[in-house]
Amino acid sequence: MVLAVAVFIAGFFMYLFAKNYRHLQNTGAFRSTVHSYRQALNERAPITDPHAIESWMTFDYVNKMFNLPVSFLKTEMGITSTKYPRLTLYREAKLQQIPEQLFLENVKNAVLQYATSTPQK
Amino acid sequence: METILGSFLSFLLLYKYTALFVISFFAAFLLPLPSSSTLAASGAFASQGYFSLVVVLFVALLGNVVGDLAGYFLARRYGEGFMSKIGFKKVFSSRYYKSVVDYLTGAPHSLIFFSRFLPEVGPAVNILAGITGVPVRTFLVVDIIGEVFYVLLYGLVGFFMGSGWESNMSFLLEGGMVMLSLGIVMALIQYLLFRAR
Repeated sequence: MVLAVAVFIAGFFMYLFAKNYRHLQNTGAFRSTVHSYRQALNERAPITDPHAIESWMTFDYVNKMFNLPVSFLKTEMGITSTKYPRLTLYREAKLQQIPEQLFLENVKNAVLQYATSTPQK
Repeated sequence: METILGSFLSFLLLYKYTALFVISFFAAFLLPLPSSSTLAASGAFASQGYFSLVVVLFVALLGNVVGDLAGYFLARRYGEGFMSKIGFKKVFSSRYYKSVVDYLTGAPHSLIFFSRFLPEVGPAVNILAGITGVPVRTFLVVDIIGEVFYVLLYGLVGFFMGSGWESNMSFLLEGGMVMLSLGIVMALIQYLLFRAR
């Protein structure tokens, strides 16, 4: 009896998992254009939307994701910390005594401005 | 919860593979850390070119296995003595405990394997395996196999989801629930077979 219930529950979760997987595949959540592991390794999947930037990210990571020159955000945001770029956005907001959300918006706007004014490779 | 995960992600971005090893180790050893989310995030960061996928999978595997073994060996060496001192002495001399020991030393495979997919349960199983005297070789082999599958599941899902991994956490949770429920089924089957034997 217990085994039958356990099998039923396992089947239920497998159904949910398969259903969610199909949904994600259909909406393009997976990198569905990638057909092989080798292709996946060679094809980077960077973030392209500056609104995806979050305060837990580091400047190093943001620079890499948006192909920014290393000194760009340092100049734009007036960062003086010697830890840059290995520094999180929320930490820098704290150092500059600016509200975290405001600082984050400023970073997003700076990245957006750079992206629209610079031809992307 | 978001802030806690954010702190772990910052730690991961700042200290990369070292952070991944530390989180994997302590999650496998004893602490309730979000190691599955961290592993999926590392896979996503690898898809973005920030990490190497192969190194992520290797470091996560190493951290998990070393953490499991640390918990297992400490429990094996000191577990029973410590548990007896804090009031579990009667449990160890009970007939029920003896049958648990017989089952675990005879057929622990599915319990150990499937508990690798649930970092919340894994450390408890490691301690139980150590205290009940599951053979070292059996534990090591099943643990490594289980951790390989676990690391591949969460690491590759994060890799193929890319930057969308965070908004699809429910998918990862469902994967974990599938493994948990399959683990319960397998453990029950194994227990019934063990009893029949």
